[in-house]
Amino acid sequence: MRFAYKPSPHIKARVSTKDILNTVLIALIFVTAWSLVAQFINFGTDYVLRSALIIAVACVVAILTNVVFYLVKTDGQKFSSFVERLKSTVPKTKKGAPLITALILALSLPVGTPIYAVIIATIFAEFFAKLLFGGFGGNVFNPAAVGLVVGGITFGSQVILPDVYAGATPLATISGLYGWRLTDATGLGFIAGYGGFIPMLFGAVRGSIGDPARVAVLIALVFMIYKRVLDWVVPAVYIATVVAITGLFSLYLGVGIWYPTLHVLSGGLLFGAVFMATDPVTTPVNRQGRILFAIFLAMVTLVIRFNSSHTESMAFSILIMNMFVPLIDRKTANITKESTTMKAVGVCIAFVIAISVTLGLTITLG
Amino acid sequence: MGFFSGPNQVIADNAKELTGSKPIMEYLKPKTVAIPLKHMKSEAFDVHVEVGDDVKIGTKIATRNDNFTVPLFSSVSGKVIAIEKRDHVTLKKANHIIIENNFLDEKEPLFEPIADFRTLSRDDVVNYLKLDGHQGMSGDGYATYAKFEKVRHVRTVMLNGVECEPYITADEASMMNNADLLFEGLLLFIKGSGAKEGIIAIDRNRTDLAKILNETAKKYSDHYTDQNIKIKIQVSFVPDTYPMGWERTLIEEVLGFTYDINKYPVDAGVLVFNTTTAIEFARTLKTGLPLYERVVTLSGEGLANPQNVRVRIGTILKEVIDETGGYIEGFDPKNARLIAGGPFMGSGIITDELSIPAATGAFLSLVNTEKEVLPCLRCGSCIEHCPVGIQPVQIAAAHKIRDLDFMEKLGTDRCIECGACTFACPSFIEVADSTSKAKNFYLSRK
Repeated sequence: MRFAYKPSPHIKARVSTKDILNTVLIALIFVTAWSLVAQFINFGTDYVLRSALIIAVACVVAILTNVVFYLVKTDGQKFSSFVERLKSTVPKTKKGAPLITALILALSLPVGTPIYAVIIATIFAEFFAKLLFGGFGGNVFNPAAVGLVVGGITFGSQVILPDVYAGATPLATISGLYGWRLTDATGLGFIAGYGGFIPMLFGAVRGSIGDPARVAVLIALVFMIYKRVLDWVVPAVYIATVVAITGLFSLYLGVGIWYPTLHVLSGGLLFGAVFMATDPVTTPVNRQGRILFAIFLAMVTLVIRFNSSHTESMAFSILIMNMFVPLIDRKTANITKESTTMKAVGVCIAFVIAISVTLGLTITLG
Repeated sequence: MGFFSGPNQVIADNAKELTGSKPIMEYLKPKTVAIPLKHMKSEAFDVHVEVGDDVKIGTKIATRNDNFTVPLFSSVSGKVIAIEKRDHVTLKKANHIIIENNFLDEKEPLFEPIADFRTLSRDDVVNYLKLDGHQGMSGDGYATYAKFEKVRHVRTVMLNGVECEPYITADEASMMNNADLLFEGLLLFIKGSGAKEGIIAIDRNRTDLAKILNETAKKYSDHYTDQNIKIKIQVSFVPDTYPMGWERTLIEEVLGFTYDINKYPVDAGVLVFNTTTAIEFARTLKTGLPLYERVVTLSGEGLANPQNVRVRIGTILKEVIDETGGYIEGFDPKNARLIAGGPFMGSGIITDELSIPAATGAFLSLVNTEKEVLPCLRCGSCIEHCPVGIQPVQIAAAHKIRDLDFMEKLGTDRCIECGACTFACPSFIEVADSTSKAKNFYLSRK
C-alpha cells in the first residue's frame, strides 16, 4: 500500500487557537455583561442603552469591515454568484476574531463617544491596524489601541472627554486638575466623593464603558490564566511595576498607600493590562521578552500619565511598546534554558531603569 | 524547566494500552528477508556473499567499511537470491541483500558462548560489541562500540527504557521478558566503560515492569568493579512526558544536573544506552549469535489488531501487518499516515513494502491526523515546550528572510527535531518541519 509523505511529528495536541480566541471572547462578554448590569444599577437605563448601542455598533462595524474587505480581496478565487462570494467571507472573517477587537475597543471608549466616532475608530482598528497588515496574526500594533488612539486624536474632545452621560471621570479630574500631584486631603476627599475604593471597584465610576467592571476584569483574568490562554506574568509584572513606581512617588509626595491603589484602579490601566498587554500577536514571544515589555509598558504608561495632557495613557503606551516588540524579540533570542541568572539580572536592570526614568522625568518636569 | 523557559516538554496521550497489555506475537518464518545495506546515512559496504550462496543465521554477509565498522548478519538460514535496490525506511532506495528462507533455522555462531561474564575484561566488552555489530535499537542505530571510544571518566551508565514516544511498547515488552539479561547487559556496559554506577530509567506509570525490575535488581546488588568497588545498581522512575527519553532531559530528571549544550553526556561522565540494546548484547554473549530477531510494535488506530511482534531482522513489514490482521476496515491511505518509529520523531514512510531494520522499534498507522492550519498567534507555545529551549517561531521568521546572523544567535543548529513544537502549536502549524529546514539551511551556509 502506498502512502503520501508527511513530515513528522504525526500527532498534535487538541488545544486550538480557536479555543484560545473563544476563551478570550467569553471573558470579554462576561466583562461586558457585568459592566452593563453595574451601569444599570448605578446610573440607570439611559446610560446602559447608550453603552449597549456603542458596543453593538462596534461589533457590527468590525464584522462588516471584514466582510467587505474579503469581498474585494478574493485572492483570485472565482465565484459563480454573489451569494457564494459572500459565503466565502465567513470563515475568513471568523479567523480574524473581529469581535474580540470590537469588544476591547468598545469597552475602552467613553460612554459619551458619538456613534460616528465609534464607527471610524472600529474601521481603523479592523481595517488599518489588522487587515492591511495581512490579517490576524500579521498585525504589529494592537488593533483596539489603534482604534482608540486614532479615534481619539481625530475626534479629540468628543471621544476622550466625557459628556453629559458620563460626568467627570476620576481620571480626567485628577489628571486635568492636579496632574496626579495629589495631597492626602485632595486625594482622599476625591475618593470619598465616590464612596471609597470598594464602590470604585464595584461600579460607581463614570468613564469608559468597561470601567464599572473592574472586578469582572480580575475574574476574567483568573479565568484566562486557569484556561492557560495568556501569560500571567504580563499583567502581574505590569501592575507590580506600576505599584512600585507610584508607591515610590507617593513617598515623594508624602501621601498614603491609597495613592498607588488609585493609580491601578484609574482609567483603562487594569483593563488594558489584562486584555491589551497580553495580546500575544503584538507582544514578545518569549517570557523574558514579555517581562521586559510589561516593565517598560508600565514606565511609558506612567510617564504619559504624569506628564502629558492626555488622560488615556494605556492605549498610547501599548502602541509605543508595540514598536519595540521586534527589538525585544531580537535581544532575547538566546536559548531560553541558558543562564537564568543573567536573565533575572536583565529584568532587574530594566526594572531599575523604568523606576528611575519615570520618577526622574516626573520630578524634574515638576 | 524554569521561570524563563517554561516546561520544556509536552504531555501527549501515550496510547500504550493498544499493545502494552497483549502478549508478544511471533512471526519468525518469513519466506524471504531483505537486509538493507545501509547503516545510519552510510551505504558504504563490503559485501561478503554472492547470489546463490548458502547462509545460516549469524553468517556475516556484509561490513560497513567507512568511518564505522559495522558487520551485518543473515537472520534466516537459506540462500541469497538477489542483491537489489529497494525502498528503505529513510524514503530513499538502498541496496538490500535478499535471502530466501529454507526454514531449517541452522545457526552459525560468531564465537563460543560465554558462560561467566565476570571473566571478561574491559577491552573484551568493547571488542565483542565491535564483533557483533551492535547498534542502538531505538531509532538512530548508532554503533554501540563507538560510544566507548570517547570514554575517559565515566561515572554512570544509564539504560534508557523510558519509551516516551506514544504507542511504542517494544522496549517495555523486551524488559518484561528479559529482566535478567537487562541487568547483565547493564553490568557489561559498566565494565566496558569503567563506571561505578548503573541506572535503569523507566516510565513511572509502568507499574508491572517496575515490580519486576525492582525484584530483579536485588539479585544484582553484589557486583564489584575491577578496583573492587561495589557497583551501585538502581532503577529510576520518571514522569510520562515527552521527550523524557532524550538523554539531556533524562539526565536532568534522574541525575539532577545539566551540562554544556555543546557537549555529549559522556563529557559529563554519563553513558546512555537503550535498554533493548543492553538486553540483546547480553543475549549475544550468552548464545554466540549476533542479533537476528527483535520485538517491534505495530500499532495505531489504522491497524485492525495492534500488536508487539517478534520478527526476524529484515522481514517485510507488509507481511507482518497482514499477519496481525491488516489495516482496519475501510482503511484509506489518503487519510492516514504510516510511520517508521514513534509519532513524534518517526519518519513518515510511503509504502509498507519495506524491510524491518534492527534499529526501528515500531511501525504505526495513524488515521485522521490532518488539521486545518490557522494563523500564528505568536503565543510562544513552541518556545515554552522546546526541550532545547530554542525559539522555533523566531527561527522560522529568521529563515524566511535568510538572516544567518540571527539564526546563529537563535541556536538554530541545536534543534533535535523532536517535534514537540508542532505538537504544542495551537494553530497546527508544522513548526518542527520549518525549524529543521531552517537548521539544514543554516548548516549548509555556515
